[in-house]
Amino acid sequence: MRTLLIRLAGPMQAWGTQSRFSIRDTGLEPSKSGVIGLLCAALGKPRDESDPGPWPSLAQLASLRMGVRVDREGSMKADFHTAGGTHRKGEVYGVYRASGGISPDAVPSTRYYLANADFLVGLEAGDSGLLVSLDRALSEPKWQLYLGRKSFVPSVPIRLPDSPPFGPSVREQALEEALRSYPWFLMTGSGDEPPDKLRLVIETDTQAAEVRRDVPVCFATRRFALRMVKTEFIGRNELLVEDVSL
Amino acid sequence: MLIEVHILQNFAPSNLNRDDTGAPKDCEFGGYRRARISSQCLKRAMRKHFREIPLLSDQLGWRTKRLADEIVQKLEQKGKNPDESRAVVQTAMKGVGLSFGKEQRTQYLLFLGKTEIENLADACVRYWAELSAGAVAAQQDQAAKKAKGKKEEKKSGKEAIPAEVRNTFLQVLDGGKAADIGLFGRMLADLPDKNVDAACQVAHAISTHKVSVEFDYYTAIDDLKPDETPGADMIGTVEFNSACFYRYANVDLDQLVANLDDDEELARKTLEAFLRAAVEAIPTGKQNSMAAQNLPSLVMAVARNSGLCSLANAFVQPVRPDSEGDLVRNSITALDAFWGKLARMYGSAGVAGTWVATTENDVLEQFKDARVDNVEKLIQAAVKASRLEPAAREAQA
Repeated sequence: MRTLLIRLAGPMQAWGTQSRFSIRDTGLEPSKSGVIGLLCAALGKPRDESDPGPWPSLAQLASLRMGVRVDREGSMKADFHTAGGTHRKGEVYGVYRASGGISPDAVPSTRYYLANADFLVGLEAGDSGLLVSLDRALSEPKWQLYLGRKSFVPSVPIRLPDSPPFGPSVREQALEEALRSYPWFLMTGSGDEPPDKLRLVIETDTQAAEVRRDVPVCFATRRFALRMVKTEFIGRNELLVEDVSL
Repeated sequence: MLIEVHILQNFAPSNLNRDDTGAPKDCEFGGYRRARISSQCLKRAMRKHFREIPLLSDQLGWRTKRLADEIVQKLEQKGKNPDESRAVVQTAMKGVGLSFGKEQRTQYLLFLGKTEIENLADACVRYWAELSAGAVAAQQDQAAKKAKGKKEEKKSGKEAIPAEVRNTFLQVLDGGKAADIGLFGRMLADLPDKNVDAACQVAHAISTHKVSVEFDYYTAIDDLKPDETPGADMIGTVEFNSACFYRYANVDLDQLVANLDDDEELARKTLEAFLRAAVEAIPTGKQNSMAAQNLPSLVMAVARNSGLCSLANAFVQPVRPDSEGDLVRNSITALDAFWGKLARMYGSAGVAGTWVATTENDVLEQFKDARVDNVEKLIQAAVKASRLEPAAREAQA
C-alpha cells in the first residue's frame, strides 16, 4: 500500500457536509468530498463528467482510502454574511430567488468555519501511479486550491516538499502507518506545545463506526454516498516531535 | 499564470465590517483574537470601486442607458432614423429583461468595444421590422392602459423579440464581456443562465496583531428639549477597533481569459483594474462617522506559475510595536523575514517575478531586490508579466 500525504493548514477552513440553505456548517476535520474536490481543482477536472478527459474518474478518486491526523484542532467560529439588499436609492442589488425573482432584501447567512486548524491528510492506494500523478498536479495546480471555501487560502503549501523532514509526499506505507510516523513539527518561537494526544479520523469498513455522507458520486448534481470512519488517538509518547527553527 | 497581491494596510479606528451584533468581525489566529474583514466585504468594495472610479479608458460602466446610446449612435451611422432606433433598441433591451428607465443600469461592469456594439447594432438592423413592430405594439399597449386609467405596466417583453436578437444581446450582456463577473464569478444575477467560476480568490483580511474590543460610548441629545431637563435622550455604545491588516488576493489568468470569452485584451485591462481596486478600494462600514481612509503601507505583487500561498503565517506570533519600530514597520519586517523562510523551505521555482512598493523601504531585506518606487510601476510590471496581449493597433484610424 502507498499513501499520499498533504497538509491542509490556514487561518480559516470549512469542510461542510450537512448544510442546508443559509446555515453553512463545517465538520471538525476535512471531508472526503472536500479533499477530492481539491484534488480535482489541482487536476483541472471539471464537475461535469460527461467528457472523461485525461483525468482519473471520480470513482477512482473516491476509492482512495482517506485518513486525517488533526495536528491542531481549530476553534469553530461563525462568519456572518449578507448578500444583496438595497443600499442606495435606485440601486437594485439582489440575490436571485429559487422562485425566479430577485430578492430586494439582504439575505443573511451564517457560515461556520474552523479557525487556525492544521490537518495532515493521507490518501491510500494499492499502487503509486495515481498518487504520483495527483502529487504532480498538486505541485502545479490548474485551478486555485482552497480549504473548503474559495476565500480560505492555505497558509502553507498543500503539497509537501520533496525531501525530509517535511517530505516526501508519497510514502511506501499504509495509511495508518504513514499518519502515525509523520513528525509533528514544533515551530520554535510559535509558543506551541506538542499536544498530549493527536486525533486520527480514518476511513474503515467496520459497521460499528461513525457514518459520514461525504463520498462524492457526482459533483455536478451534488450526490454523495456514505462511508464509515473511526477515531483513534496517537499518544504524546508515540509522536515524533521535530523542532523546526526556520 | 497567477498574479498574487499581498497588502499590509493599517486603519485608523473604524468598524469597516461588522457582524450581526454590530461588533467588528474577528477571528482567532495563532491562539490570539484578531480583527478581520471578510472576503465578501473586500470583494464588494472592489466591485463598487470599479464602477465609481473609471479605472480604465473606454470603460462603459453599467448604465443601460449609455449602452443604448452607443447602439443608437451606430444605427444612425448606418442611416437609421434616431427616434426609431431608440425605440427599437429599447424593445430589444426590454426583451432581454433589462428595463429601461432613467435610473436603470445593468448590474455588471461592461467593457464594450467597437465589435460588440457593431454586433448588437447588426442584430437590430437584421430584425428591424419585428423590433419596430414590437415597439409600436408596446406603445399602443401602454397608451391603451393609460386611457383606461390603469397603472402603466411593464410588459414582459421577452416574447416580443426574435430569438436571435435576444441571444446576441444576452451574449454581450450576460457575462461574456462583463469584467467583474469574470473576476468574481456570477453572484447576483438578472440574467442567470451561465454559471461562472470566479477567476480571483480574495482571502479574509486578518490583523497582524492581537486586538481587543473597544467601545465608543455615545449620547444623543435632543436640541429642542427644554434646558432644565437633564440627561440624554439616547445612550449606547458602538464597537470599533484599529487594526493593521494583512490582505491577500490572487487572480488565475487562464480562468480569467476563459471567463471573458478568450478576450486577452479585456483580461489584461481587467487585471489592471483588479490590482488598482485591490490597492485603492476601502469598505464603507461606519465610514461616515469614522472616516478611516487609509492606504496600504506595503503592496507586493507576485507573478507565479505554481505554489500560491498566503503569507498569513508571518503573523502567527502577533506583531507588537516596540523599540525597533511601530506596528506597521514591525509587520513589514515580519512579512519580509517570513518570505525568506518560506523560500528556503519550499524553494521559489514557481515564482516568475516579485515587486514590492512600500512606505518603509529601509526595513526590507529579503524584498530588497524586488523594490519598485511606487504602486503605479508595480501594477504596470505585474500586468506586463501576465503576458496577455495588448490590443493590436487597428489598421484604419
